[in-house]
Amino acid sequence: METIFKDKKVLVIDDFPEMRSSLRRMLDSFGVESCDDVDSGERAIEKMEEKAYDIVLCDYNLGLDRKDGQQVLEEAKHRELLPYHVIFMMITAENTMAMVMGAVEYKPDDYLTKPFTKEVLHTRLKRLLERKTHMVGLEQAIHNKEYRKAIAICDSHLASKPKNIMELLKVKGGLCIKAGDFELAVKTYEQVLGVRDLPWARMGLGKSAYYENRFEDAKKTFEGLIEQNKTNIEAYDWLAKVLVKLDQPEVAQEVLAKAVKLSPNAIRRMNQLGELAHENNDLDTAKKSYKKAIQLGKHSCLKGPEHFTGLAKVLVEQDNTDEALEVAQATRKEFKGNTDADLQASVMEGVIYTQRHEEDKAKEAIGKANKIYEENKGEVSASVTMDMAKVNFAVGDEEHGKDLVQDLVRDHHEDDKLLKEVEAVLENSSLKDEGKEIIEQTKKEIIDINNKGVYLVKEGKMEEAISFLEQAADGLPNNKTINLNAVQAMLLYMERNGKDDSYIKKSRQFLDRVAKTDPASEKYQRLAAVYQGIIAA
Amino acid sequence: MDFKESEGGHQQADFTTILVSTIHDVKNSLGLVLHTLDEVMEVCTPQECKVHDRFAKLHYEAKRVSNDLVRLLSLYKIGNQQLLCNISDYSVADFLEDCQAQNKPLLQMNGISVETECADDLLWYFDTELLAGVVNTVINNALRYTQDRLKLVAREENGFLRLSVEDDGDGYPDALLHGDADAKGGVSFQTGSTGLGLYFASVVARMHENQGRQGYITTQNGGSYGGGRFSIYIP
Repeated sequence: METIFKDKKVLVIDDFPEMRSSLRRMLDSFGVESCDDVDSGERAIEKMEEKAYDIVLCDYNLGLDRKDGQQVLEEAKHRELLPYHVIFMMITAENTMAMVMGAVEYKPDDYLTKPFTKEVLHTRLKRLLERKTHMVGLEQAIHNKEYRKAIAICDSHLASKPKNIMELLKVKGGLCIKAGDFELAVKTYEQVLGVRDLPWARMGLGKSAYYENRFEDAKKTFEGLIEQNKTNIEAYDWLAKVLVKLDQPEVAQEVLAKAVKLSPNAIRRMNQLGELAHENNDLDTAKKSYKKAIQLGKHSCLKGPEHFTGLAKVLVEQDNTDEALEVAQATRKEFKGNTDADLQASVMEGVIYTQRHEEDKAKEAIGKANKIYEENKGEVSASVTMDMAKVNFAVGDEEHGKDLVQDLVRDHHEDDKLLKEVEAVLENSSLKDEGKEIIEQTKKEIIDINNKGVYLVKEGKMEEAISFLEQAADGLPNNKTINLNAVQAMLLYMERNGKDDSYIKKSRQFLDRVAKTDPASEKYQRLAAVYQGIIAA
Repeated sequence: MDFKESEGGHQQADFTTILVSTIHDVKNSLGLVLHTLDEVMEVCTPQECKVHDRFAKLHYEAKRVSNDLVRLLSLYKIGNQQLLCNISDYSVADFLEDCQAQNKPLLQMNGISVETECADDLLWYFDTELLAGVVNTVINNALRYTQDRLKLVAREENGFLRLSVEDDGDGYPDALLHGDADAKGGVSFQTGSTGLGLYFASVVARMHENQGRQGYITTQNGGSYGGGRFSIYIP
């Protein structure tokens, strides 16, 4: 008997005992010596926390009102329970999986459609194990976010004209986009399209166009893909993104609604539809979408308090404060011990009681929120901060309101759309007359810091510039410009003087901060590419 | 609070829906029956077990029903535009290896050897689930007519991938022979499942398009073993 399966630890997840034992017998005949089986996704996650597996076989359908296979995969990846060498195989009852799960964030290594024979399972697992061994260097580089290195590994594999040439080109194209090298991405995808008109290559061209701000080109590409295949969910998602950039939010909403109809189980997309509809003042659609997102999130690690906040805000706008209060309470219940949820629930209550003119209760709620905010500075989202400012002004707490507004300006001093919103908040507050000045002054404070850093760089005082910008960035962890300029100074220094471990670490940290909020920004992509070049050198 | 959408309320399921979900159910149960049979057959070898050939027959028929159901569901979904051709690139050798693995117990039981002929580096573009459905059906049919061997052949021909299943039986009857084009006009449901199988194959072939060219199937007699030869051409 072959020995490749002998030392592999396998986890089987299926709610049917017959299926579990049948799979176990198959694995047993392959020579697997260590195999566990569980009947639910919840148990599976626990098992994966206890033990490191090499192969996970998971049935998609794990019973009504339970986590399904996709949710198990999402949570396991999310919690980093599946290192790159682990094989996750999804077993499905029908062959429409690609469509149902279209454009989900996490994909299994393989789908296996029931019914299958022992031999099929054996062939597929063996092939996957070989492929993983073959790709281990590549996956490790990707895992470490060393995209340039990963691209180089792709190229060296490609040079030997392997069987999986298209797969490698696909990976390479994706890596080019991640590394911010859109020119190389376009070249790679065009190389593929020269051989064959493959949808994923055209998707790649569309994404590259999007990141290069060629929105009309991107729009045409995604529209073409949808025309060719009406179920290309990913193309709908991207078309909606492009339409938002082209300032056509209503059309974007229509597109996203179509995607949701085709693939109704993706929480993130459902929430996006809610947000877009909310912005478009289509409150009924917004309400429905947020509710659906909450319902879908019930067993998922992707559930978030923002879905509840979104729903509560719509309800307030519809003057249904009773239900909005219920939603706020449900948030606390659903996310016990989660500070962010606690904060959002308190802010919501502040908003609701303000609407109801119950000032004492509003004061109490926002007081609680202010306290949580202070303890978690730098980690609260802009939209929550904005709501907090509004409530503070409404209950007459001018001081807190002003602090919050200034924090917003400091974090986003170059984001004109957000600054306009801040201006509107001040316009409706007791600080109406000073509103513009508060914004301008705070903006100037940040611009001065930034200018000083840039000036020091220009003067060639690199070390001084770096230490100044580094300190500024740590004080303003959400300010994109300052963080990126700090990175730029460090990268410039290393280009001249060679690698420096502490600068590499700091650059990565600052880049990651920006990646969380705006990975698509041109400057981020450019610096990330330079960073990749330096660490690969 | 109820987060569920509260519209519609009770809905009368239509008969098609009931039919489809029942087929699903039966198909899944049959999957388990087949699994169990596979396991039984492993201990019940022709040498030691008197009823081996009965089990083989049982397995073959169960497999046929299962294939039929899968095909029915696929045709239903194609008709409803729920099943679209999801074309991607695959190693043809890997694909044939999968097909062979899927049918291995059945072939072994019936004492039929399979040979494949395919270049290792042949890469093609197709919907793997759909094409596997076709090949499985054809292999299953060929089992009835072949004596003791089958051959799977894959090669590029004039910009098409030709995938053939050849047997050493007596060949197709005249009514089912199609030198070229598709079997659309030739399907007669009176001739039994072969007709439905070919119909499904031609539907799948035609779903594959590339640069204005469409896939098709042929059924011929001759081939390497002088029996029947089914071919599907994918552009």
